[in-house]
Order: sequence, then C-alpha cells, then structure tokens
Amino acid sequence: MNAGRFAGALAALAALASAPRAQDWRTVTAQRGIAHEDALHVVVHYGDGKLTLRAADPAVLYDVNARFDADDARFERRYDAATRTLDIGVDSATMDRVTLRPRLSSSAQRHEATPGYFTLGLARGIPIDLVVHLAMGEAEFELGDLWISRLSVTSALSHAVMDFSTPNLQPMDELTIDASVGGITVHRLGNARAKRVKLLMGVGGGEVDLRGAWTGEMTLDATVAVGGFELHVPRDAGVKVIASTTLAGLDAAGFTQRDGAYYSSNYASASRKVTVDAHATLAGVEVSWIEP
Amino acid sequence: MRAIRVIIAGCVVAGAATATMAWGQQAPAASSAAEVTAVLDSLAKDQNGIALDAADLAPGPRTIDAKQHVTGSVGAWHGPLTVLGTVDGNAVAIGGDVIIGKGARVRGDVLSLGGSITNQGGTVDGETRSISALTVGKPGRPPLTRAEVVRRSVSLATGWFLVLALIGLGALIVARPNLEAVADAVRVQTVRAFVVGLLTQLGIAPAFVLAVVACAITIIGLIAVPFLVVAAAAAVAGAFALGFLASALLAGEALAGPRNGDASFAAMLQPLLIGLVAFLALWVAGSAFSWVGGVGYALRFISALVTWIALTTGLGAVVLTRAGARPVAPPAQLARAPSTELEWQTPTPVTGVAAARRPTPAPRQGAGGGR
Repeated sequence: MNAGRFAGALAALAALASAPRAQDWRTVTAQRGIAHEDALHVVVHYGDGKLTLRAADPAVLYDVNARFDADDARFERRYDAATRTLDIGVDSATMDRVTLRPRLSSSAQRHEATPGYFTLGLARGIPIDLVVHLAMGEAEFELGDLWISRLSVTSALSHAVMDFSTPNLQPMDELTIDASVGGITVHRLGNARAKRVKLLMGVGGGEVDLRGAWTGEMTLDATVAVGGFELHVPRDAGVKVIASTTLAGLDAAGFTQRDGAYYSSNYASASRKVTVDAHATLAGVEVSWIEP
Repeated sequence: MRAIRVIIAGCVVAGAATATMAWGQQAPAASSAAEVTAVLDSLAKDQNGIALDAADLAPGPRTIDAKQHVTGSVGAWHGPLTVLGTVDGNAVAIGGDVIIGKGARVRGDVLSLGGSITNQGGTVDGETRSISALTVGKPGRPPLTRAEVVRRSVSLATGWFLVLALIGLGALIVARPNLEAVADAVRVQTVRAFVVGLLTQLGIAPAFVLAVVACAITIIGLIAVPFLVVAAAAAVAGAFALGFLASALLAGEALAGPRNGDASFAAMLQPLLIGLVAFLALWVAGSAFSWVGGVGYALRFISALVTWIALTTGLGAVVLTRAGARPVAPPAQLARAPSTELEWQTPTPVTGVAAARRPTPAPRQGAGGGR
C-alpha cells in the first residue's frame, strides 16, 4: 500500500471526524427592582459553565448576566409576581448529555477562552427560599448579605464553593447540599445559622468549616461515598460525632468515645453544640479545630 | 473589465455580509416593512423578547420628553431610545441603547435588542433586560437536520475507525505474533471462541466487583483499588481491541485473499486495514441512511450485530490464546500421534530437511535405567 496515500486518507478521515460544531453565543442581562415583595422563592437551573450567585445591589429583586450557546442552551426566566417565584437559568442540552449521550465532537470547543457563564444577584433584606440544580461546571455561591430561609443545592458533576461571609438575618430552617460528583467546599457555614444541615457527597468528598455566628444546637448529617470529608469546628463549640463507616475511617483526635459516639472534651460546657451524624463508605472523615 | 469584476465581487461580499449581520448591526437603510414585521414577530416569540406593535416603533433615535406621557409602548428602530417622561407600556430599542433619564418612569419592561440599558435615576416597574440577539427558532436542543444526523454518525464511525487503525498499527509493530495467534484462534475455533467470548463478557462485571471487594478487605488492598480499576479497564479494553483487530484481519483476508502464512508487517497491514474498512463501511452505510427510519435502524442493527459477533469471537480468542501467548495450531497442522509403527519407517531425507523425531516413551520408574 502506498504510504503517502494511506497517510492522506487518514488525515482526511481525521478532519472529517473532528469537524468542529459551530457555536452561537448570546449574552442576556435582566434586572427587576423590588416592588412590594416581602419574600422570594428562587429556582435556578444551570447546565454547563460557571455559575455565580451573590447579593444584588440594594432595591434590586434580581439581576442576571448570562452568556450561553444558543445552539445548545436556552436562557429561561419566569417571574410570577403573585407567588413571588423566580424560575431562572440556562437550560442546556448538557443536562441530557451528562446522563444520556456524551457529544464527542464539541469537547474541544466547549473549553474555549470565554466559556458560558451565569451570574445571578438576589435581593438583600427579604427571605429567600433558594433551590439550585447544577449539571456540570463550577459554581460559586457568595451568600453573605443575603437572607436565606432555606437552601437546597443539587449538583450532578460540578465543584461548588459556598461562602456565608456574613450572618444570615434569621436562622435558616434547613440547608441541603447533594453533590453527586465533584465535591463541595463550604466556608463559614455557621453564618447560615441553620438548625439542620444535610450534606450528601458522592464522589469527591467535601470540606466544611463551621465558623460563624451560630448559636444553640446544630445537627449536621454528612453522607460521603468516595473521597473524604473534612469538618473544621470552632474551638468554642462542643462536638458530638456519631459515625457509621464502611471501609472508611474516622479521625477525631482528642475525642472521647462513650455510648457509641465521640465527644469533644468541651462538649458538656460549650454554649453551642453540633451533632455530626456521619455515614462514610470508602472515605475518611476528619474532624479538626479552627479558630472562630 | 478587471475593475468591473472587482466591483461585482465587492458587491457580492457586501451583500452576503449584510445578510448575515445580526439585527443589532443592521443598517437602517436596509430595513423594509417586511423586515420590521419579521423582527417584531420574532421579538414577540423570543422567550426573552417582548410584544411590540409596529405602530409604536419609530426609525432612528427617539426621545420621550420629560413632559411627555405615552399611554402605550414606545420603540426605536436602530437608534437610541431616551426616556425622560412617562411610558405606561414598554420601552424597546431594536438595534440601539435605551437610556432612562432621571425622573423618568416606565411602567412596563425596558428592553434593548443588540444594545445596552443605562438607568440614570428613573423608575422601571417591570424588568430591565438586554439581549445580544434573538434566539427564536433555537430551542435548547434544536432538531438536527438530515445532513447533521448523517455527518454526526459518519464522524463517529470514522473516529472509531481511526482509533482502531492506529491501535492496529501499534499491534502490528509490537505484537504481531500475538495478533496472528489470536486471528488463528478465531479462524480455527470460531464457535468455541464465540462461546468463550460471550461467557467472558458476562463474567467481566462480577469478576471486577469481586476483585474490588477482595482488595478492599485489607488496608493495603484498599490502596491498590484505584490501580486495580485502571489496570482492569486497560486489560478489558486491550482484550477487546486485540480481539476485534484479529477479527478484522480475518475479514480482510477473506476479502483480499489469504497471506499464505506470510506474517510480515506489510503482508498483515493490508488485510487488517481492508477488514477495518469493511466494518467502517457497514457503519457508514447505516449512518448514511440513519435519517430513513426503518432502513436506517435495520442497517445499524446489522452493523451492531456483526460488530458484536466479531468483538465477542475476538475476545474469546484472546482468552483462549492468553492474548496470543499460547497459539492454537490449525487442525491440519496439529501433531498427531503415529497410529502404526510403519509410519516412522520412512527414509531419512538427505537434502538437509529436518526429519520428524520419533517420540520415545518416558522411562518407567524402577526400570533400572538400563536398556
């Protein structure tokens, strides 16, 4: 066989196989001022790219700035003033691709210099019931200056970083984070002032610090499958750990075991306490101290 | 003459550029009533658009004065829209910016298509938004055209062919004897190889789970689990690839003629590529008709079935030959025990050809070692 012809045929086939998919980028901005809203229910969907969530400027109910590929996704937002519900996001075909059919030819283009993004600002000073569904990409939640009454984050293939930089205006009823693959990092979770925190970490594990202005008793349920879970607790807080591990280990140095639980030495005298119910499989659970 | 050509070419290019420009960049002079109607129709259908009556739209820059009170909506076509007074409806700029002046009030939404919005101290009761272009007709997952369906399928098939061709080249360079041995096993023990391949496919997952659990019992084994996963994946992929290449080699020999025992690189390359092209042709045929419902499905089913049989048989042959390390000789060349003593009473060749050795029975224990 002629080597030149063979090489030429291979090159032609390679060009055919890797023909890039055209992209059609759109940018959208939207903003609405606060009228008479005294609460807000927000549902966010985001498929692929970078999601940033933060507090909006004063007197603004929501503002959004998004860039997306119109061939692949659609920017959707519906605000119902009667129910004070904002349903917003960039619904991407990626959500289906993650679970159903990966697209091979566009992978190189998807990592271009300026990928898709979705930046959402939410109102300050009114209670927000926030539900976030992430498919893939990365997410950054800067939740300081917001009043979150309930938070639920579901992530399929993303790494999410969350920071409660200032104390929540009122205690939060419940905070749930369900991260299938990718892991989570939560800074100053104590500022959420959540009575009950549920963390489900699939593959990738997570790191959480409980610094912040929480008082009383907090319950933290952590389920981690593969990876590790690091919990940093302020020194003044009392900690009780109930661990259920399968092919996993618990590292709680200085803790005393009694009645099937591990207690920190200051547990009885501490003014604020956290009970950690950890379920780990093929993962390590580590509880350590951090300055408040 | 040449100048005329240049001018014509320039006009063609300019025309094409104008036709493909976004709405926000379109020249006002090029606008027609039909265009305006089309854009307003699209704007109304766009999920982030707005409904605007053509009567509310004015060409070029437009200003609503501070003392002005518009009971309906206002719009500007390719010019900035400045609102200083009160608008009871929506304020829309198509292909331009919107400026909300101090003290102005818009009771509806403010929208800029292809421009930006500046609020200098006015009040907007509704939503303020800007969109870079319309997205009408582009839902989240647009239906693929016939050409896109075919191109996508052919690209996928071609990509796999390229990957296998490269692996095949590598196998011919570094593991030619193994490939030959596996191909021999496919040829000689086809049914057995298929059955073994089928059983292997069924057993891969349980064996993998058992291996992981066995490793995870101990701490050292737990550390080895990631390596086991990678190694197992590589081994399975390698076995499938080697087996399929062996099947492709045989298919190529069937199409291009036998090699007559020639195991050189050049002699094996041609049938291997022909075999791979044959499989590629099957898939391309299925892809080319993928837009034709029944025929497309039937062709792709046949392609999948043939490929699976080749994969399974090849995998079985890989297992039978221990990845080609233990060749299976064809029946005609299998060593056969002599049936009679007379078979060994042939004259020894005198031309230098090595004669067959007569098997000698192993000495019995306790026979004293003497003859």
